[in-house]
Amino acid sequence: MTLDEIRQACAVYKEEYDCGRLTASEYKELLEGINLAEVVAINADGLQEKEALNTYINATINILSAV
Amino acid sequence: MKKVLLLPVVFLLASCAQFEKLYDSYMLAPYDNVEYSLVNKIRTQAEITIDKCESRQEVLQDLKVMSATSRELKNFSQYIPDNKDTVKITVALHTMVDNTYEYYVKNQTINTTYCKLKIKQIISSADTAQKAIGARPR
Repeated sequence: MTLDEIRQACAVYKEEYDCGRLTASEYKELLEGINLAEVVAINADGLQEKEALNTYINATINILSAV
Repeated sequence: MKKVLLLPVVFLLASCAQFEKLYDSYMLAPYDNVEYSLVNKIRTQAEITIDKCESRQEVLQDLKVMSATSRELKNFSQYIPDNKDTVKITVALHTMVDNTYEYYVKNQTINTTYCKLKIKQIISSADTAQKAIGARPR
């Protein structure tokens, strides 16, 4: 779940709760899950940033090693 | 040898504030087949489970299996060196799956809407985790 998807999901949960298709405890549990989805999304973004940096560092080292 | 000598030069190019990030990036734990396979299992199982939302019992059984798999992933990633981002991801994913399982255990009546939205939440988070874990350096 990306951060954009999380924002969209919150709106859907509220709508379903307002329409009575979710109980209060189900709505609460879904929102607690969103907090965890946010942790996954933030750390996945951080990991992907480090992966890109790792590629860049290794490419730089390889270029400098060839000189 | 040349590579070893050039490393400090690369790091010196960055400011001190960026050093830790650069160091973490350079030392990042490589791609791990087992981690990738386990996160894929969770996502795939959830994709199968979402079609069973009419039956609380079937979803409960699937969640029990998913909870065990996500626990295995969390434990597996825990002591791999230079793996802190993945550990945070796997801990959060396991908590999400396990809380859902516990919710099903405690509640005899579950709305289909809740089931669909909750399993979709697990699928999306497992998908995000899989993308990041799969892109780790070879």
